[in-house]
Amino acid sequence: MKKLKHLFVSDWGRFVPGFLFCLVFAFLGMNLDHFIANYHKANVAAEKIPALEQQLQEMMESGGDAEALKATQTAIEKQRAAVAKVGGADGQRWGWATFLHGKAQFNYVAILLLGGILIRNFLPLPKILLPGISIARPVIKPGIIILGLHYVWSDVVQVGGLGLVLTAVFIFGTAIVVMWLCQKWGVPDGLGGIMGAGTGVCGVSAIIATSPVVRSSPIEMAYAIGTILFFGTLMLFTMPYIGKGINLSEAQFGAWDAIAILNTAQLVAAAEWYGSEALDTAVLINVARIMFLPLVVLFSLWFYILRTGKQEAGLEINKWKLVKDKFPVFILGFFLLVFLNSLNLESLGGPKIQGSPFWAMDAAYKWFFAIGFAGIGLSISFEDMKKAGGKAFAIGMVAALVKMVLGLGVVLLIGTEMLRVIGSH
Amino acid sequence: MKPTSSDKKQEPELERFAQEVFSSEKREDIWAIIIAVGILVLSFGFPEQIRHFFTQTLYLF
Repeated sequence: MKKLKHLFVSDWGRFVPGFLFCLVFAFLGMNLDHFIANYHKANVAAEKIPALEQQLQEMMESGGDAEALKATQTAIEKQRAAVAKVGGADGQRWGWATFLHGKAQFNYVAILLLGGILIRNFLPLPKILLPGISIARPVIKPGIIILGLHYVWSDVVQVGGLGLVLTAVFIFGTAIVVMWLCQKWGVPDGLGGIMGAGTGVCGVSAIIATSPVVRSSPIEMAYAIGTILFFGTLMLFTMPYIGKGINLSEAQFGAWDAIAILNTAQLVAAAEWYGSEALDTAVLINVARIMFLPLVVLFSLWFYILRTGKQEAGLEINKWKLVKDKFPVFILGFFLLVFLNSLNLESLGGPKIQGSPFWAMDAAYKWFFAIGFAGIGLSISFEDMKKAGGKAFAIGMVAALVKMVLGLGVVLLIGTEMLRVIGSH
Repeated sequence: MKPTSSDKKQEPELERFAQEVFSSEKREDIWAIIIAVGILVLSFGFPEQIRHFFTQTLYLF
């Protein structure tokens, strides 16, 4: 019971107002997205109806096949139902919804991120909400675990295996280059170490994990986190449009996203914004990347402490304990679901098998993502981002640009097929 | 039965162990797994209702 007690923080009450605020914001964001999506579907349906009716007319006049006639009639009824759902009539159009939902990609991801940023920075957000907002971000983790249903082991081997190679090259390459640049430019070891880990692995988690090992100060942590989040935010809002502009496939974008954007929540947001295939690829490669977190912490320990002999006399560093402590446990849940899904058990079914437990469970992940995205948007404070200044900022910019450009080159070379998640039954 | 001195010695160690294990990142991860397992159990028992809840009930329109 004592151990269970530690699942709750002693002052959990102070998180409630902010967390409830995120829940309400997420609920409203998802509903606004659903509202726009319904009108978009109605607009698409309204455009299809005349062509289908024309087709039906021609088939009836030419004495077409009964099955084909029935299929066309069913298609017309389906389109009419979409129009009726929004209370529309024949001839009505809703181009604004297609523009917002289709062209501008104004879905729940954009609504919650942009809306959150606007609320945080331009409205008087009571300070009492801030603690709860910070705990909304990790709610994305149950969503990632549930996403395990989208994969089978062959995906993990193919895309995950390729992802492991990509991430190994980019993680250690970036971490080494950044740490070396930091030493060259006289950046303190503490800041250099966490910048290397943060720009190499996964942003904020890596910074927090590496910080005690390289003994960075709180202000250095603030600089590093501010820099990482700033570039993550910049890339989150620009990469999807760049990807669309150069006709990157969803799978390629997912891989690029997972290499270039460091924060798990931000990269999930960018991928979900781009498309479901992008999300599947990005999450799998990201899982491969964050598994490296303990290794990068160990590398930082060697680079800054053991290699230079700065270890305190008599201090025993337990490397196994360090690896165990820093391992992101939640991805075990992700892999468990991948494993169960790969077994193709009748009792569990699959995300596409109607009426099965996995089919039901799959409907939940978007809501966890929505709460997480609400937390992200509401956490992005312009004030905090200004903390990233000087050399740390310049190094962060170099690392971000290099990863973005090289990552794009690599995914273009690899192509779509190797990066596509085939998924399950 | 009165706690022995070794029991008393073990308690701070247990506290420290629990603190280490349940650091905030680990706490988040454990909660994430608990929530996912909870959804799985509910989906086992009530698949149609769970699906309906997340795809229909939560939407106002």
